[in-house]
Amino acid sequence: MSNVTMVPLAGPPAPDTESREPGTGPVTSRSPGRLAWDRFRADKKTIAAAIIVLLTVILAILAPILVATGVLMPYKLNQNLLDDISLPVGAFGGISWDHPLGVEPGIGRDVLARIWYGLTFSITISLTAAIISMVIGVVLGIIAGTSGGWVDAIIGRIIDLVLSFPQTLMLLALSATMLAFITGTLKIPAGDLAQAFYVTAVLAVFGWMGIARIVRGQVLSLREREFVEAAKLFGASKPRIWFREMLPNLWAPILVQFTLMLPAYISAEAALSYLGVSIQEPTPTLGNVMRVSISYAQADPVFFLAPAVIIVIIVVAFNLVGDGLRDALDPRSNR
Amino acid sequence: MTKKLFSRLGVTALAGVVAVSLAACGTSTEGGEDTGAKNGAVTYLEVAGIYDGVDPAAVYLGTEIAAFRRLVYRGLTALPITDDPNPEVQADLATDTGTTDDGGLTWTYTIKDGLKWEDGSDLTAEDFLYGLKRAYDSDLTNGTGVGTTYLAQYAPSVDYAGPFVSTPEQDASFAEHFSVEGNTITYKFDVPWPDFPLAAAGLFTTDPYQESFDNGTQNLWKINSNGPYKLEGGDFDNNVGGKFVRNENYDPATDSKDLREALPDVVNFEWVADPDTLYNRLVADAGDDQYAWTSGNIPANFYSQITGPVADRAVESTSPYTRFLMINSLTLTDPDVRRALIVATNKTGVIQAWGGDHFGTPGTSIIASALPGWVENPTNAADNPDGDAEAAKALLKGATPAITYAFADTPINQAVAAVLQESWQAAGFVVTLNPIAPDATPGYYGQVSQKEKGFDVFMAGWASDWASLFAVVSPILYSNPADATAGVGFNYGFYSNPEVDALIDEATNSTDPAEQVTLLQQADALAAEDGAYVPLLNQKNWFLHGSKIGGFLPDAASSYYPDFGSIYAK
Repeated sequence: MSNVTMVPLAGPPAPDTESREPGTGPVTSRSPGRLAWDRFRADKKTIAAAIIVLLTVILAILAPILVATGVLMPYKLNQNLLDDISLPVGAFGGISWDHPLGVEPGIGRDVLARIWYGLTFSITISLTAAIISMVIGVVLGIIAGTSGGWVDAIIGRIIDLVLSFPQTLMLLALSATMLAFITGTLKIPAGDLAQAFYVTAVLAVFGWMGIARIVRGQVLSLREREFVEAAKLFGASKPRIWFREMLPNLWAPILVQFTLMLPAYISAEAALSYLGVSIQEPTPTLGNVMRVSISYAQADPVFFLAPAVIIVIIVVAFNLVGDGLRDALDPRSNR
Repeated sequence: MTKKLFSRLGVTALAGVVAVSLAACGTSTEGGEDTGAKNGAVTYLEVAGIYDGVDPAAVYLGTEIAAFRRLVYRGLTALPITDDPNPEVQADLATDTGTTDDGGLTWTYTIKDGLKWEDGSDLTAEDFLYGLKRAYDSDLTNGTGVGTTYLAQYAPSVDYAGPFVSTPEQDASFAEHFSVEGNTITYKFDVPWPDFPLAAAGLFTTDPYQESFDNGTQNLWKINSNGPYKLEGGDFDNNVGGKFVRNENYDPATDSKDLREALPDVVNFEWVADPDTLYNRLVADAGDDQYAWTSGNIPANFYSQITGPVADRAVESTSPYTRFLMINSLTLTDPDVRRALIVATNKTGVIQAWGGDHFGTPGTSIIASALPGWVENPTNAADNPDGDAEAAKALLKGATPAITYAFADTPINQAVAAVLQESWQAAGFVVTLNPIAPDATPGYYGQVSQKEKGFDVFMAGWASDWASLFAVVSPILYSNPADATAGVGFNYGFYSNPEVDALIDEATNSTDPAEQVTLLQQADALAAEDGAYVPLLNQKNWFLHGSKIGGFLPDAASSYYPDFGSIYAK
């Protein structure tokens, strides 16, 4: 009957359906974000990968500081550590306390320093390109999804067009011309900055299509919802609908897609660097260290394997984090 | 000989000429069971894309000249197969090595009888004139133009543009200097050319060309042979290679075994996509690769694999090449700054970056130590090969000039650049690196030869086109004409010193060979005091061949690449 109070028993309290004032009674419902975080945390594999990702970012931030203070010396030649056929003296490519991953054949640069410093450049380029890509993709995806009609059709055709370009071939063929354009017309100083700009621009321009399509799909399912109709009725302008109504509901797929894009960008940057399109020596990147080390596969396996293994670890870690995020945020999708 | 060798990717530049011989798979002429017949097929391996053309007017690559001189393109004269470092030139298509009554101003050659092209038609004296005419056409020479450089030096009054575009005045100008009567050709130069028989042997400029075969620039990849072999299929594919089979219209009686032993029945040229693959095949020595060889030097990353049985198949030889850095005399005008750059250079480190002792030894000149007439350049010999930053700083008097260094972009060249940059920065220079991509247009030599360059020092290499100091000192140090927009000869640094020019002129006009050598040595010494170039090293050759290759002889006639004339399958 009325005024019967529930007697707390041992065990978890029953949901209190009578009193709904905030602050009374234990809160047992969790927000979607909290739910996702708990799911994410529960997956050990993902946590391990996330730690590696975090470590990578920290190392990438640390490297320039260490180079500036002289702890890491990616440019110092140690030719005295080479033998008469210019290979590193000592086993495993010259591993020692001074040079934990040995030295480079021919000129004796510290391999660890080069890979570590190269990580910074590679991550910076990949991250910047991924962010730009994401912005372009999200904006175009939202516009395409909400506008429909000929705007959607045009954006769709643009996506198809860009997807059909042979990206790598074009990059290689156009690099000289585009670099001349960048240094000449855009007045960016030649050298590392111009090359990094070129690679970032190319990666960004060719990578936004996936996220655009996903966002467009999500938007298509969102735009019929009542809150969007309500906003329209209240006279909200298009951009307001796009960015104040739609976008906040899209963060989950965008985040997942972003985390999955990053490793693709990292490998793409390494590949471009290996082909000689990205930042040139002596500034190291993961790819251009590999460019040299690949010839030494038999003569100096440590030098050959080190950058390759690092790239593999980073890419796998990012991929696992992305998968874990997707599972956490959208557990219904089948793996 | 082939300066152009270094316009290639550094790896192929190291490789020199890798002979690609397409392995003849499964034919009866493999000679695998050591029949003693020595006529088995052999395979010359090379990195794809190395040739720029096979039209004799367009050929300047040392390995290409060495190969074709023995297989398909005979010349007026040729050098014999021998391990003598100073061989005598011999008559090839001509009856003798040429006669001159006026100290080299006029040369006369008589052509042998019974010479034929691969289609059976007669090879006549007119064909030699026609070939020479084609050497003047800049479209046909496809950017090499070396023949015209020497012709311009020795016969500057000839105004001729090529057989397809010449005006009647130009024809007359040509005919004044070069004429044919019956079987005899007469070459009249404006300046004495005592080495002309050597030049005729070492370059294709004076080779004959069949007028009826000519199709202008369409013939860039076509070979019309007068030698023991002909190209099967007629067109050479610079991505794949070609197969050379016996030429039925070649008469060995008109030739000499000293020049062409022509033992294999088939010589396959097999182009390989990448140098690492090529050397992995040679090291592995499996199957048909046992009958393979290459003209490229073993790259540094393979040195550790040249041990045991592999080392038995590795052959060292002297190399006619020097490596040096050319200084842009138009931008670095102060001799003290130039000398400071030279003194600061760490040659030992550079050699180590290139692979160490197997690659070369520190040098003091653009002249190779293997060249007759070489002496230690007195100024450069006093410099410390490890580089002396303090002495350089003293020369700079505390200044910190900014310089840009250009080079062909390859991993090894990048390593060399790192060493150079470090040694120069220790002396106070502020160094910017300018790597030039292998597929850049214009290509490396196209860019460094321009007068307006945008860099102050760049990598270069040279081997004399024939065994004489003239073929080194003159092309590199003789000043360019005042109106030149690109380097003439190989003076891409636009070095200009009237005293050096005077010494070279005196040597050209001298009739005493010993005096010529002394004068040219003095010219080089003077240029070094002036800081004309940064000497680096004398290259060494280290070749690898298959286990069943015999007659492998890097000799002077082939610019110390393995001679195609002596090679056979064991």
